[in-house]
This record gives sequence, C-alpha cells and structure tokens, in this order.
Amino acid sequence: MFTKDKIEAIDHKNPPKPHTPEALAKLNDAQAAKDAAKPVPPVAVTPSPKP
Amino acid sequence: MQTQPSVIATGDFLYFAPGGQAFTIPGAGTVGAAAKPGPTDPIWTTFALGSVKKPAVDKITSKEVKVTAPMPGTGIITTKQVLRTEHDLMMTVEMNEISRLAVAGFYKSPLIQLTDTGFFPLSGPSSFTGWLKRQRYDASNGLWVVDDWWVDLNVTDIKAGENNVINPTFAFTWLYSALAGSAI
Repeated sequence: MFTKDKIEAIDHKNPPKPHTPEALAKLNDAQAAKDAAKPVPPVAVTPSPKP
Repeated sequence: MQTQPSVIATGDFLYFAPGGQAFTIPGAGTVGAAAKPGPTDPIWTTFALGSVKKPAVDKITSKEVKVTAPMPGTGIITTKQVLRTEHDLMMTVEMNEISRLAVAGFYKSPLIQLTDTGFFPLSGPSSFTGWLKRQRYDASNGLWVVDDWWVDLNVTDIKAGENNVINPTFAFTWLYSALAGSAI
C-alpha cells in the first residue's frame, strides 16, 4: 500500500541545512538511548497443540 | 504532472537519509523502512550525495512465467497469459563529486560520520539501506516527479572520468517499504 500523500519534495533552492558534527552525534546518542529505553513488547506464546 | 505527453529535458536532484540515523521531523525517530524523515529534516543534506552528472537510469527486471493453453479445435497451444512473479527495480547514477557515502559505499566501510577522520575498507556492513529522494525537474524548473525509495545503496565504480574528475557510480536497489512511492 503506497502513501503518496506523504511524499514531499525538498526545496532544492533552499534545502535544509546539514547537521553540524556535534549536533548529529548528540541527536544520534539521544535517539539511541530513547530506543534502548523502549519496553520490549511481550512475545506471544503459541500454546502447544493438545495431544 | 503534464496532462498531455511532453518532451522533458530533465535534471535530477538526489538526497539520501541513511538508515539508523536519528531524525526529528515530523517527529523524533530513527531512519528505517517504517520511519521516513520529513522533507525539512537536516538528515537529507547531512550525508549529501552531491550533484548528478547525468539523469539516473532506472531498470526493471522481472521473472516471467508464461501460461499456455490450447486454442479450441486447432491442436495448437499458445500463450494465454504472462505473469511476472518477481520484480527488481534498480537505479544507477553517476555523480560529480566524491562524498563520504561514495567512499563508504565503494570501500565497504561503516558509514563515515561527520567527525570521522579516517575509514576502514571492508570492515562495514554488506549493504547500506536508507531513504533515497529523487526530484526530477524539467527545463523550466517544473517539478514533475518526486520519488521516495527505501533502498539498498551500493557504489559500483569510483573511476576517474573526463578531465581526471572522479565520478562515483551509485546503484540503488528498491526495497519494499509501505512508505515508498512517487508523487506526480
């Protein structure tokens, strides 16, 4: 299923300014910590078939 | 998109957001098949590919399965239907500049970060994934298609072209993502 409404162009004459090295490193570290802190969803256990 | 067929002299702009990198627009997340940064996020220009030397070439290869059936009363079997059961979509493009992505992709090193002062060939992952955004403009600066592809990135060549300028060749293989597609 494609979601074409979410496909947007970058303003190529005024593109977003790239991250500074420090900003990107900080952002990556913060996001990694956030991802690590996310609770792990419980694994569904399929009951064994009755004999 | 044009309402009538028209000749288009195109220019392509490519942007790449590597998988695993953090983004903040439209919300905080990590770039992945199910998470695409918004067009104003800085990640699109942080790992810049450079400028396109020639418009990208797309190629689709499909595995064909021909279904045959007899024509009634003739004793002849003909093709009734052609099914294409596997598709592969690739884009190859030559760039003008050497970028950190070009070096990492060719020498198979890990992604080279802005703060890195060196890289280690053959020590990286077997493939890079990420979001590729291609914007195709016509000769009068009209944007006629925006492609968002979740791709495997590979750099197949890093040869010196005319005038001793090194032109890396990128090969992008389309991978499935529900967020991929093209706006026209």
